[in-house]
Amino acid sequence: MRFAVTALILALAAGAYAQGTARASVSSTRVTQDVPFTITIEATGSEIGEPTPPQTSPNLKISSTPSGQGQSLSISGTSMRRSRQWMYNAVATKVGEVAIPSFTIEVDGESLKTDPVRLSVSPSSAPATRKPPGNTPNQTRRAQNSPGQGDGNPTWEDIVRIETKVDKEKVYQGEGITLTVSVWTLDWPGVMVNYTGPRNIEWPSTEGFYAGEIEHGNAYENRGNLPYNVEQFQRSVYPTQSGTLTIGPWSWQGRARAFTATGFPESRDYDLSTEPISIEVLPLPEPPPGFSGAVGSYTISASVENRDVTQGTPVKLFIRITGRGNPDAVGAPEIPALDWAHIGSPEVEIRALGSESSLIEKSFSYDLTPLAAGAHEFPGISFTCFEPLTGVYKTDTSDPVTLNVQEAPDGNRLITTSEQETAAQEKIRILAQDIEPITRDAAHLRPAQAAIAIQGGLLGVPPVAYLGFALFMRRRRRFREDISFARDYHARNKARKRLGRAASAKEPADEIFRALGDYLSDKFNQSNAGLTSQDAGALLTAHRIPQDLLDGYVKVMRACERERYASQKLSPHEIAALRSAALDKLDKVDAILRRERSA
Amino acid sequence: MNAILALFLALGAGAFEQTFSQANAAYDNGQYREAAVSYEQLVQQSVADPAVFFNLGNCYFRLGNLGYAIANYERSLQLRPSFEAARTNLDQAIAQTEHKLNRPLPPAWEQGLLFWHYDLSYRTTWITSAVCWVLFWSLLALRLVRRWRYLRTTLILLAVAAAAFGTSAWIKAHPVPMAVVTAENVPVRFGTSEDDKVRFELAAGDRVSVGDTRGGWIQVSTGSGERGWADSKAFALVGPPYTDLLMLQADVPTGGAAQ
Repeated sequence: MRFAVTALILALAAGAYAQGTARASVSSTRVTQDVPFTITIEATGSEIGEPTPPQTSPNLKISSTPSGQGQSLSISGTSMRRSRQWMYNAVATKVGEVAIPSFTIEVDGESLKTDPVRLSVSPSSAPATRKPPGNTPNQTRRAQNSPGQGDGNPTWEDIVRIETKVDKEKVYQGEGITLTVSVWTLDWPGVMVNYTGPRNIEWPSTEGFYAGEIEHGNAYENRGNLPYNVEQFQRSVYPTQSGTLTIGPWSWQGRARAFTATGFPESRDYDLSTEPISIEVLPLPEPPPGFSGAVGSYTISASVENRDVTQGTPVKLFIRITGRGNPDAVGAPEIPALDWAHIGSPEVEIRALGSESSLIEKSFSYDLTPLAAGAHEFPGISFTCFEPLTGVYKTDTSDPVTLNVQEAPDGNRLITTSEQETAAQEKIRILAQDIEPITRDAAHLRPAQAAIAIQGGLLGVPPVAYLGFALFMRRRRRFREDISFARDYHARNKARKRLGRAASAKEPADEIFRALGDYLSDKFNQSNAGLTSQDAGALLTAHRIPQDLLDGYVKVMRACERERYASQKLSPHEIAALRSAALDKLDKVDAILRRERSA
Repeated sequence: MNAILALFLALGAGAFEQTFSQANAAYDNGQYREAAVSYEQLVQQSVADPAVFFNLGNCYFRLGNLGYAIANYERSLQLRPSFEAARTNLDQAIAQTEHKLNRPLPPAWEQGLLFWHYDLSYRTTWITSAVCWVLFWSLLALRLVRRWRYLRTTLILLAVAAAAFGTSAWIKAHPVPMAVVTAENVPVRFGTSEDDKVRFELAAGDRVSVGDTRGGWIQVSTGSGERGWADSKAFALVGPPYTDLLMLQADVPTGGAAQ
């Protein structure tokens, strides 16, 4: 039973696999009104025909030809099956629920229909009358530079526009001109514009002008019944010389991509450029004395933060110049020297007034330190500027400012009341005094290189000294802990010293014998008690001392042994010869043993 | 041999003191240029002494050259931060500059780790470092002979102190290069060409730190972080090394009346 059910399932699956299929799908079931989306038709079978799109309705427009195709192949047993896909562009024009009708397609001799696909269409913010750009590629080539078709549908030329403009083309030298550079990009469904030029957009050449800060803004405007996003750059420029000056052209490169009525997206490259703008700059008339250099309409005012002050305590004095023009051309007004006060250097601040960036206030603030008590008047300050509107120079004078200076309790002393005033007073104190005199105390003048050499030496000595000391202590500890090493190390010197003393010893032969015997017992870490010449020969044989050297060594020891028991002692001459022979054999044996050990 | 070397050094030292005295005498007589020449001779002979640089700064101040005056006051304070007279005169000179720029600050890590060393002279830090160094190795050698209870802690502290003061001494011997503007209105550009745009301008006496150098251009940075390239001829390097200034080569431009 189980086998039968399985076989039935497999047979049905195989059967289904053997039949052709066709289905429709969308990239999203939620779309926006008038915004293109894609319908994908997929058919699977051995032989597949071309799909037939459904009739379009007023609510839903589907392109008659696919915008893209694809296919794949699969093999099952001995049969081969193909899958093909077609992508169609579509636009929903009405808000609400919309159903994509069935596509008809011939698969394996059978006419198949795709299932309808239901969509939810949400409203868009764009005007409802917009359509995709109406030009086909062929129409675009014929209608070059034609600004619109008159039916509300834009052309390629309408997609991007640039312009430069000025508010004045005839000015006086130093008078401000507002230069505006703008890029208009069409706000249309399916239209995308990208800038493809250099990373930094070059501003139009303004040679001969002093240029102010660039202000950037965006706007949304209609032109020729078409909506545009406008990106605007504005800058005030001031001609620095008279004559005819030119604001150079401005260029812009980009690419636009748009879905045309054919349903295919198309691209177009743009390389746009504006015309240069000529500006006629009139020279200024002969300036009067005291002309500040400012061109514009300005007024000047003076004020203090407090009219009642104390002797020695600084107070802020503000000179404010307000008007329209180039603020950088407004220099600090000339402040007269006062015999009753000290005035420091100004701090400058520029700010725009209200919403108009052309109306500015440039303020100069001074630290005024009254030095004499009493009522004092700060005189009016004149400011002369050239007014372009009237073509004449205008002088404005601030009102005088009266200060009541109270005497300081301790007389004319600078009094600290705040950190800022301390700095100002410190500045006054510094400027009022002379510099410190030269010093005559210059002990130990010497070249710097000598000092560096000494320093380098000093730094290197301690670690070297420590290293030597550490090695010494290590050797000492080894002597203390390793008896055989200590005996071996000192064996030769000890034997040589003993041989050196032998000549003057009471028993010279005995000393020589002991020297040679103790050497061997120290060298081989043996007990030296009762060591005979025969024992010495055995030790030397065990350490592969050459036979002739061994015989010589033992012979000297035997001679010393015999002298011990002889009735007649050896003469000094014989002792000397014996000692010399002992030294010789000792050194040779020691050399061989050292070689043996180092190997 | 050692006696000969000591005699040589003594004779040399005597000649330096004589030159110094001559320069002082010229200064007292109002011969500021001659005094500066003598002080510069000492500098040329690698004598790096705070008193020499201080007096040289006074000469340039009297001659109206704020840039060189400030550079030499800075050198003096570099060698002896506690030199009050040099600090006073430096403040006086800075107050007379156009921009009154602050001194460029050292790197942030130095300000954080070595905040304590700015009032110490190079000599003080070096000697302290050397003493700690010698003590460290001495105690380490003593450890081979006998063990003390706090020996390890003492060794660690000495090692840290030697490292800290040694680092301080090294930094004082190799400070971030600083230069002082010696010309009026020096343009600082975006690049190393006369055609490059001017980024900002420096005035005589402005202090900047020096970064890269290319040909006759140096990359300068102000205390507020403004950076650009300028002609190296318009600057006096504070050093070290304490290179020759212009007094020996050509007429030093003097600006304004001397006080």
